[in-house]
Amino acid sequence: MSLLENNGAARTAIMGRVRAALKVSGERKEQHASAEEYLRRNQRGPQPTLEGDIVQRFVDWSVRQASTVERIATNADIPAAVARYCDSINVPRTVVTWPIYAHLDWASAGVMCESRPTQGQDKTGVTSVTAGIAETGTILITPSATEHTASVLLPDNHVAIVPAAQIVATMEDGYEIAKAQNGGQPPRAMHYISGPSRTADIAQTLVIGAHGPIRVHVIVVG
Amino acid sequence: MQIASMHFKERASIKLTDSQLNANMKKMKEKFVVKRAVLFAEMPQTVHLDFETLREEARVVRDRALRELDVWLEIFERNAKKRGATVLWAETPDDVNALVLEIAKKHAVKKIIKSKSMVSEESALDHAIEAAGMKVVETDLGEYILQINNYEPPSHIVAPAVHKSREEITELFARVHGTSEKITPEALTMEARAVLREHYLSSDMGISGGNFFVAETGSVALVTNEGNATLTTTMPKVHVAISGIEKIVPTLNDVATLLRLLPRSGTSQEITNYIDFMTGVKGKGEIDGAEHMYFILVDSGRTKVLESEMWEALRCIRCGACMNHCPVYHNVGGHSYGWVYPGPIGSILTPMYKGLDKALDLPFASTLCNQCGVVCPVKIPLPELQRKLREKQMEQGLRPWYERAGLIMWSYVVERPMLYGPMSRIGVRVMRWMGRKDGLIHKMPIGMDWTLGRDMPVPEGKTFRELYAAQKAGAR
Repeated sequence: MSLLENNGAARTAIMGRVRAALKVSGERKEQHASAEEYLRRNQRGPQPTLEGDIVQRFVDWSVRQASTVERIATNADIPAAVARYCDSINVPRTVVTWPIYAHLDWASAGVMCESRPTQGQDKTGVTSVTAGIAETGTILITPSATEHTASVLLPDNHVAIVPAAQIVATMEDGYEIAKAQNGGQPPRAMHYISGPSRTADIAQTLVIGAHGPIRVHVIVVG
Repeated sequence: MQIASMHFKERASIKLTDSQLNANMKKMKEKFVVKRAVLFAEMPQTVHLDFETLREEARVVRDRALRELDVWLEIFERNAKKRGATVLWAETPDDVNALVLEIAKKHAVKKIIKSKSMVSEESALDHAIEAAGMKVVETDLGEYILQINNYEPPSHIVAPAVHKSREEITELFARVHGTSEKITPEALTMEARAVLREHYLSSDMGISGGNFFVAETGSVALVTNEGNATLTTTMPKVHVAISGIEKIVPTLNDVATLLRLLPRSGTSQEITNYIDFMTGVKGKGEIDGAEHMYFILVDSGRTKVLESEMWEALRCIRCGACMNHCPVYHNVGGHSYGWVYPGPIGSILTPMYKGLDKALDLPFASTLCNQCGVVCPVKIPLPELQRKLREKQMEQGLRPWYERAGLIMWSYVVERPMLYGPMSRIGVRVMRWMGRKDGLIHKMPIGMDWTLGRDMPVPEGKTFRELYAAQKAGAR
């Protein structure tokens, strides 16, 4: 018999055992109502207090996560900043980006920039973020039809463009932004990324660069 | 995974003399004990929060889910379905394997890529996949190392290959990959990155675990450093997330609270590099993301724990702090425990999931020092639960006859002061006589093992009862 097509019995059995363990039975209307009430309240746990300027905190903690950071004034400065970054790590000025930055004047900065999804062949990906999280120096990526996860994950070098106005304090603040952009529901994916990928699975020695990017460069705009 | 917990004593005695293992385990202290302590000590400065406040809140969050588990499971199921995911239920480890194989067949899957899932270790899922003629590739570097070493069992829930030295991995990679011997951890990691990269792009199904299932949104939350879970759940067209029914957390905000504790407790990090919340199937026009998403909610003994006095163990968020701080784990390593979950939490979960009689030694593999209880981010009273399991073994007649007889005799004596007073007085004098030469007893008539590696100092002076009687007389 197919357990996949006829999974109801397993569900009934497990739910029965859960209710027996909790010594409850019936429809549990009251408990459902109070659970829904809990969801509506949507309260947060103990919140951190961050001292000083929130943008500076984001910058400092990005560095703590082993990202590199540059601050620039406007979006028009992005191509030159990307060129500087490519030079600093000795990689060609060839990048792949999301449509949002396709219109920038990349040619004048000497950067070969293509706006398309990557298949994994590109060394450097330039993307925007949904939010910057100051508490931990984290970027929040929420993919969409024009914002491909692959360009964040597959290239060796990820350049994340973070508008200063999108820097918030906490992970919880990040949820709110992501939900607001998606009709109140979380998008298919929320990736909270803090610096380059890493592992310590070999001899407990920290190595930067595991499966995700080996370098993360954060450019704060404004 | 075949359980071998009944051989704890034999395995532990072998591991105790394994100098390579001892050296590897010693290194754990700096990273997992010292650095963790520093991070929590810094917390009041860095975020104006403290460990005790946070872990009390974390306990409340976990208990809220567990006390109304049926309700939160139903809410999770409803919200996951709304987003196009399929929610499946597995009563046993075998059910997990059967479901995965059926899903794979339905989508004509040839190759499966996997990020870390301890629940899939419970059912030896990889073996079932291979037996069904498909290829499966583990992507967590530690799990990958174990997989290519002929499926060696993991020895830690967060760092599965913590028992292996760099030299062993150098030899293993060169042999399996057919490459030159890489010496540095950097070079070895780069080699694994290159080998695994092509699998992400060519697999048709990704299997992940689930650190949390979020009821509010029907999402799975995944916590990693390597980025392997992000790739595993994003690139293939089918995503299957497998975890225990106890991993339900009501809201995203609740997860944020737990995440202020989990990475600090587990890997001594303020946050791990990747935290992914995956919700439903890919949207219109999206290039990345799974077209088909399945959740497998696993019982495999969880409901048995829920109805027992041991239910608090289900709060566990799998940080590994209890084993990282356990003097027994440090000395015998994770393999001695004989099943998926080692250390203090394993000494509770293994007998509860697999049967008390299958893991008789585990609740005793502890000095009850409570280091684990002090660092647990969700306040599981681990030594208390170990003690309860010991009691259960006694109640069910699972202890050896001489232990039971000894305890019956002991309780007979201590309940009778007229007997206990004189006997302890004689006992003290006999012990003093035994250690008359240098004040140390080198060999004991009972509990011989105790003096194998140390001496027993002789009791000094009179017994408490003698002193009490003397002082009372003096005061009068």
